[in-house]
Amino acid sequence: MGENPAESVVITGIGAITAFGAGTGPLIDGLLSGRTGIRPIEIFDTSRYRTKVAAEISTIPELELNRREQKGMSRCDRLAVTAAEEALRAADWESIPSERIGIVFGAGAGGMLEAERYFRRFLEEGATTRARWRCLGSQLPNAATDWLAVRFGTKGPKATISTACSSSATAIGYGADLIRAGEADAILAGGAEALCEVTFAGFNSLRAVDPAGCRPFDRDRNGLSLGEGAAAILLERESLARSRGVKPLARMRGYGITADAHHMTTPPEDGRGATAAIRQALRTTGLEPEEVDFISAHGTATRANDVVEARAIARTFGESAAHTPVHSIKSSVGHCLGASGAVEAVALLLSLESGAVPATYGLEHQDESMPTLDLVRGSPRRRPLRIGMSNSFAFGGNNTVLIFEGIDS
Amino acid sequence: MTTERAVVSGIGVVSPLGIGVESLREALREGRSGIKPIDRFDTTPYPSRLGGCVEGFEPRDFIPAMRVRRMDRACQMAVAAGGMALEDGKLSLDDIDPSDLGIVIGTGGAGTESTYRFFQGLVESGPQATNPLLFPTTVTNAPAGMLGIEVGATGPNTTFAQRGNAAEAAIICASRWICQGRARYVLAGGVDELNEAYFHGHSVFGILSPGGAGGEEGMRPFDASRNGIVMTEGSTILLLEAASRAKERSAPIYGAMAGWGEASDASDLLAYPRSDAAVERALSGALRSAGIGPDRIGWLNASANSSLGLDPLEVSAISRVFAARQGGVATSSVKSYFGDSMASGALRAAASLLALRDGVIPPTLNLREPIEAVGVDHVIGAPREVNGIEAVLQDGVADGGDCLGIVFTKE
Repeated sequence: MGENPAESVVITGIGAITAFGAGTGPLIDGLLSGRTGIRPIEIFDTSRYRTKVAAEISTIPELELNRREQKGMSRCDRLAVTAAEEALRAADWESIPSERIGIVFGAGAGGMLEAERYFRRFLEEGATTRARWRCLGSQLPNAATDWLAVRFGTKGPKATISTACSSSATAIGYGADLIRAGEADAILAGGAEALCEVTFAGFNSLRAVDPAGCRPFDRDRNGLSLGEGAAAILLERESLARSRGVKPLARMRGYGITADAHHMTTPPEDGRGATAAIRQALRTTGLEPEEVDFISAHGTATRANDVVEARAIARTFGESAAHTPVHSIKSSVGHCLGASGAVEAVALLLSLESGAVPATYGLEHQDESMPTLDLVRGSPRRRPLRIGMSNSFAFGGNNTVLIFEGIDS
Repeated sequence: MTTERAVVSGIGVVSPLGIGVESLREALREGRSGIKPIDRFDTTPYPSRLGGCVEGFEPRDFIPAMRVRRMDRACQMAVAAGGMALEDGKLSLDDIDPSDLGIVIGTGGAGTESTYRFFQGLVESGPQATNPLLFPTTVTNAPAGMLGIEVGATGPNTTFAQRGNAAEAAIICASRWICQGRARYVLAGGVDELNEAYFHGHSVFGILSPGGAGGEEGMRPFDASRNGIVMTEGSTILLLEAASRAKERSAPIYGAMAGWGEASDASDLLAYPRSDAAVERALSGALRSAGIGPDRIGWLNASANSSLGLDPLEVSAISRVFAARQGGVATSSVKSYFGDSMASGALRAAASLLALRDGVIPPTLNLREPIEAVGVDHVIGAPREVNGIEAVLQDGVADGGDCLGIVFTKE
């Protein structure tokens, strides 16, 4: 199974839905305007919790769904479809043969929100419960991937990656691998995540949620804020995109993937796994740190993550670290877990296109205990951007780092 | 970047057929099934009571007691199987750079047991009383993460979560990483756990035997009287590395990953591919990528799982690929020994590799009245001993419309 590492993989369409609304337009506008989508949760009752906010999506646009989709699709699946439709439409995808287009999506809790209602009744009524079970089919991580394939009729390879917070970053990397290996000409890659009580309770039980809304890299940061959303990108063999007459937005240059092998929820102090992932991403793309124009950090605003990530960036970027802008969008759109890698990749592509690195919302005070980085705060940093790097680190100690390059048409 | 093939140099097994790869070999030789009435939870409210449950697995034989308590059953089985694969492959972490070892696991629903228990605590005692120790194992990638921590592997680590073919996807990913040079060694395989929440879900989906079709409960792939699947659990993990490296360190070589093909045709989350065309595309794609013709396949390790929908679809696709072959291709489904789960492909891959090594094709159990088609030579009754098998084609057909073929060859 030969792989052609030189095969150029481009992005011909992007789509997103976040707490800023449906569409990539609202996402970049929201990020550049210095607002946040984090607000009191309405989707479930938080009265018994210490924290009460998340980046919840207020309205999902009405989708044209058939009866089966109407009954079976979870909130998470609907988010996935919304983002995917935007990406596919932008890429004018219908001229790609269905056998040559596949789907690789990342997922976390999937349709857990709906499954919670079922399990509640299962606990009360036992195995013979007559609760509606159709939603159970949408509970597993692969549900969104499979619904997308049903809806769009793709017939190429299909895979779902579920590694908590790095799921959809890895899905994008793996999707590019499938194209370079010649197994597909195009891959719809991305991720989707909906808020649910299990996840919210879980992060609260770890005391990892900031009641005030998260503040990445800030001296006073006190935990993360959850979010929900979906993002999709159409990855495509560059030669196919050119022959279809579709203008590529950017190039997927490559990625790094490593593990900490340290602890399920805490990174090692020295950030060795994150460091190795950044090094691997640079090595596989043949880029030097000074060529990277900005970094979209994992930046969850937990005490442990941000300092470890700053150390990893400082160590791998050396002298360049002081003048490479770094930002985190998690204080704007929340930590979208299984979707976060994809949402951040799409935000990165929008930054490349608009020549502006959004400021990190809520970041006010430099944390003197971490290495000095060029953190973007206050207002966006406007400058021509060519190369962007996106970090995703996850439960289980998984680290994935993606590198994209803007294309001047 | 290497153009070399990845080979399998170690196998670890925790399955209803026993612990260790030898238990699989023996069961397939003796025609011994691991399917029994489930005793882990009360099955009286359900129409089904059988399962391929792992018995006699003592996690403390593999994992220090302190850490066993931090792991759910899926994690324990994966950590044990991964450790056995390293031992079988004579690879010690002391002798390699830990960043040279990657891990990739496929699973259908790892984490469901922990999620269910965590949620139960939440519902019964409220948010302030939830158990923070349970939450980290609710994630699907907990087995891969725990295995990485336990063996100290800092190479790439990921998890495929799919309705089926999850383990095959993981094994293919491992091959890719080795060819890309992302890892020199990869532990790849699958894990699934049979718990009540999972069993209940499959029961309400109506896919378990005897299900709506009625009749006797049991796993009868390809048989006219089949009436649904029997669920299984366990973890099988393979050690993969480049052929030259395995030879250099005199590791045992079971076989090579010669090629694979993937396709899909989804009509519903819970439906098999719309037609046999996608299955055929995956099988032909696998043969093409391995560069071998249908005549050189010694065994077709089938995906047939005793369901009404999958088995005829698979027979028809095999027939289309192998119709021209004299006498047909020797075909059987080892799911008849242990049942089916979304990651059962790893245990099936171990069976593919044993057949290559030993030249013995296991028969399909409980097969009396097979679905016949030109090109399909059902192996029934006694194990078929042949004079060397050059290649095995492992077929994977799953709901969600996923299709996949892997060709394993003698190195």
